[in-house]
Amino acid sequence: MVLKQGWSRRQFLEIAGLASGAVILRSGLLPMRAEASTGNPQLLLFAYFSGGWDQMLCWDPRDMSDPRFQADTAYERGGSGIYPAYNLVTDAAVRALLAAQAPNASGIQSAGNLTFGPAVTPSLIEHYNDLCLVRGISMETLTHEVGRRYFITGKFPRGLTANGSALSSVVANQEGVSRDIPNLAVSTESYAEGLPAYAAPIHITSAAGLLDVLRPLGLQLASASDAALRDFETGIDTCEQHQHNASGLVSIFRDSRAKARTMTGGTASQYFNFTLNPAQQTPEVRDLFNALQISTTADLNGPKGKAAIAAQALCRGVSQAVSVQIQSGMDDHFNWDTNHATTLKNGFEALGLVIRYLKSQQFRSTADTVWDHTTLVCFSEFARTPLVNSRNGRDHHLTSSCLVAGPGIRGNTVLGGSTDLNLLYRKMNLATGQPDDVNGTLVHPSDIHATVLNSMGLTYDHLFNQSPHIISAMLK
Amino acid sequence: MKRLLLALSASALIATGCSKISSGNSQQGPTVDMSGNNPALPFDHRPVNVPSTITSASAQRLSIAQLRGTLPVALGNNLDGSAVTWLYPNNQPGLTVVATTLGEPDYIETTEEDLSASPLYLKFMDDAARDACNRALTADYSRSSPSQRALVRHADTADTASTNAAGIDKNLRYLKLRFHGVKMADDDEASIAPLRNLFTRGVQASAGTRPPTVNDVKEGWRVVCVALVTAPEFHIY
Repeated sequence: MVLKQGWSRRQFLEIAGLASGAVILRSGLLPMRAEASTGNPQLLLFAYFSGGWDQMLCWDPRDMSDPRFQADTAYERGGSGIYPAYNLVTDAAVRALLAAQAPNASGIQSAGNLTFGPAVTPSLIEHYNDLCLVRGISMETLTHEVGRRYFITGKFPRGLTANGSALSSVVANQEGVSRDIPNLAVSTESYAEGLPAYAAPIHITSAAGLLDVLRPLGLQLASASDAALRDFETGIDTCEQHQHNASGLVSIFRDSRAKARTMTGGTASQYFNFTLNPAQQTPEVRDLFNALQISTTADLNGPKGKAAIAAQALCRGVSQAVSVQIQSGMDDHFNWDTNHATTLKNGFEALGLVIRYLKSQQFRSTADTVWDHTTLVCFSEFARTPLVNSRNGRDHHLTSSCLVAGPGIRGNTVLGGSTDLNLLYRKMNLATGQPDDVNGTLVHPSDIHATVLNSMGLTYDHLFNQSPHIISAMLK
Repeated sequence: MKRLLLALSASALIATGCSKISSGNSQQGPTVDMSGNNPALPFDHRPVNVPSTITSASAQRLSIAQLRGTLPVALGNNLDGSAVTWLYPNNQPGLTVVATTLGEPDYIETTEEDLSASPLYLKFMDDAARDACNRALTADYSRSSPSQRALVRHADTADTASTNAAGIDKNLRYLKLRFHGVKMADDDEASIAPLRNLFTRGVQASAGTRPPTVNDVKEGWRVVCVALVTAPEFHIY
């Protein structure tokens, strides 16, 4: 059948199909997909320790009483190249631990199958049954920005530029639109490349900042004026917008504008009025502050304050995924002995208290706790050298570790390891989690991302060009 | 040739759903003629294969620095001569207060600005528009000479669409040009109507059932100003 000279029925249908496809796209295909959520909601706590942490003080300790790791042998030619130096640490808690272990103090703490360095706090160790330590991760870089962005996205950066989306954005995207701020980033970088607006991170640095995000600031419009404005925005669709929308930027803009108004229209702000005055605290804030032992401005501005924002966002249903820089200032090229353990310890204390709090909170209207639905990934951009330098500091080191926990993660488990010579990464048998220097696989951040997403029942297709491996030993 | 016709036809079909603001004079707006009938080519120029999408530099969002420069230009000056801009509740320049939150590089920690149209950006632009438009209109309504006003230049401060329809329409066209760089033709009723309706509803929202006062009209202009400042056309270029 010919409809018009030179036009076949096939051509007409092709054109009609193309045009109707455009109409369908414009009429909201993305929002429909956005509302598709998995049946078993999963939360993510993505905790970052900024600056590069010392493995031996936390996740991959060495026995300081071992002759190989004494100062006089570690630095010798042919020596181990590993000096834990716990005895140089001035932190009171570390000193107390070593004193308790005297006369042959190792500096190592044990719980179940796990071993920890002396900077890990009892508040975190108490959760050992839920924790999985992954040792011997190859970070492939000694540059802060690169390591940080590598672990945030699971993709090696392009130069210094982040490549891909943050783990939290991927989780927020796959879980769909169900929260006021699906993806909250507290004092940390986060990225969303090619994801819909609802999955984009909302960056804040304090509870006050979050309040400013959740409440309209300044003079408001009358409600009828506001309604008129929204009708106008919904109706108007100008040619100028079409011209600017070749890359989808206008669509993103409109989606983001709608999301921003949803965000400020809710009641979530009541949960983040973090005042230290008990008389002005809501019951939720009071409970939270008691649980996290927040009583001073320093607490509020430090790791506990950051952790409190994350906990509140997860427990009150504000966010699906929270990235938080729990601790910073760990780049101790100088004065590692006086600074590093204390800094780590304060961060771990906050993390341990948050886990305890999540375990005490009911998940929505179920019999579960929030922790039952929370996956935790705790990381730093790389580690610190196994030898102390001449300035009592430690420099950047490739071999790092991370801490993982969650409903799909096998707790009370140590995976991988590092060598007793220069603290280098070892390949891992992905099925058993044991070091396997011959047939094993080198573990990278992309493998952690893929395995964590897998444990949450989510896809990790976006990592395809990183050739990720599933560490099956990590999975329940 | 058939492929070309297919592409052109598809473009034409999609374009029918586009409310054509600059229909009055295609040479005055920033639009690109994609019809393939543009007579601009010299007669001896070889035929041009018009793609279905004109690819040029990608559209991008204003940076914070650009916004800092743009708002005062668009919104004019306060009575004391200082530039109108968004002030945070603590009376500090809003774009300075939220600069770090919105990812403006400090060239210490960050060297690259995130120019995504994120919900956070749009949230603060909402706040900015409501505040800055109010400041601009407060200044305008204190100036008796229309030519000295930034926003209400072609109508009296008490005029509504029922008392001075021509003046209101002219001012709306002026604002569209001022904020978005889009010139609407005098006879382009389809494009002006939504803006006029918005203005009228804004006035009514403030006045309720009584006759509108000057303050009610000011509220109408504020809603229009907010709509223009929070539109994609203002932020994307």
